[in-house]
Amino acid sequence: MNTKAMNTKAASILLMIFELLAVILVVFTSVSIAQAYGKSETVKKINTAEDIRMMIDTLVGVPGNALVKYPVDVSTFSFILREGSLAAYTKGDAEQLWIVRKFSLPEGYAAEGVLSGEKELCLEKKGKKILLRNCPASLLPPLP
Amino acid sequence: MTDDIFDVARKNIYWLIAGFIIVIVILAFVFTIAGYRNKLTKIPPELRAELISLRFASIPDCFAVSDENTGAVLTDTVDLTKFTKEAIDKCYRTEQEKGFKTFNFRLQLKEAGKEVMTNNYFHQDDFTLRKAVRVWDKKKPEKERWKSDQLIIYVQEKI
Repeated sequence: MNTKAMNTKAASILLMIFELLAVILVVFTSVSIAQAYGKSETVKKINTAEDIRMMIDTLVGVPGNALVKYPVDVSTFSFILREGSLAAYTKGDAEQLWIVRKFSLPEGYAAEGVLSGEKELCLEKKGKKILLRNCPASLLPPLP
Repeated sequence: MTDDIFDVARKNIYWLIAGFIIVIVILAFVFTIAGYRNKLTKIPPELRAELISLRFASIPDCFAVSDENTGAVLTDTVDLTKFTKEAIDKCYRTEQEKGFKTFNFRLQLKEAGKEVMTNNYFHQDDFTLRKAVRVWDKKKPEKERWKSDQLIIYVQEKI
């Protein structure tokens, strides 16, 4: 009789521990989800990737050569520009967390470049090539 | 004693229901935050379409007229001999299988009455852009080669 009562009490205590653990888990999950989704860094990363994609679309539509500086500090991010896609990520990000934006280039055009930890980012159009690179000391063309 | 056993069973049922509700609340939370983030990062599709369509009348690899001798490019022009399906496929091409999920265009020259479209365009227009252009027709006599026209760009954002 006593053993049965004790068993029930033990079960009740176990349930209470389980309840506490469940509450902690729910709070922890919610906070980490909120942090992951709402991090301003992710929003910044997406906006930067979108901006660069629009810069590429604009450069494609410009006849001749051009050099454009992205006017925001991008030292916290890394970029990989490949044929038809741009990836923006923070060092240590798993590849699934990379922000990838696709674009279409006219036939014969190429896009390439890697940039990591640099404060300034420049996009250069040289003939039919679009290059992602760090900015030169001066954006002005050399004097004749 | 019996009450204690029922108490444990009641708690199990309670947690079963609570677990279900908690999962729903977490999912709703995720979708709300994701929706908010999408709002923060949304780019107006008209802007993207405008920037992509800059190329059509601005570079010789699309439809712009370029001087055969100097190579100089005349922006906001359309070479009528280039205004073909082959040329637009070289100018703007989306992935064959998933390309309908991105921007596709139908380009129409109002006065010339010519039309071309990109490879994944299926007549689902979301909005229209208009550009004033000068059309150059090599086949016509010297004095009649240049004509003012309007390039109407029908934009299919995604299907």
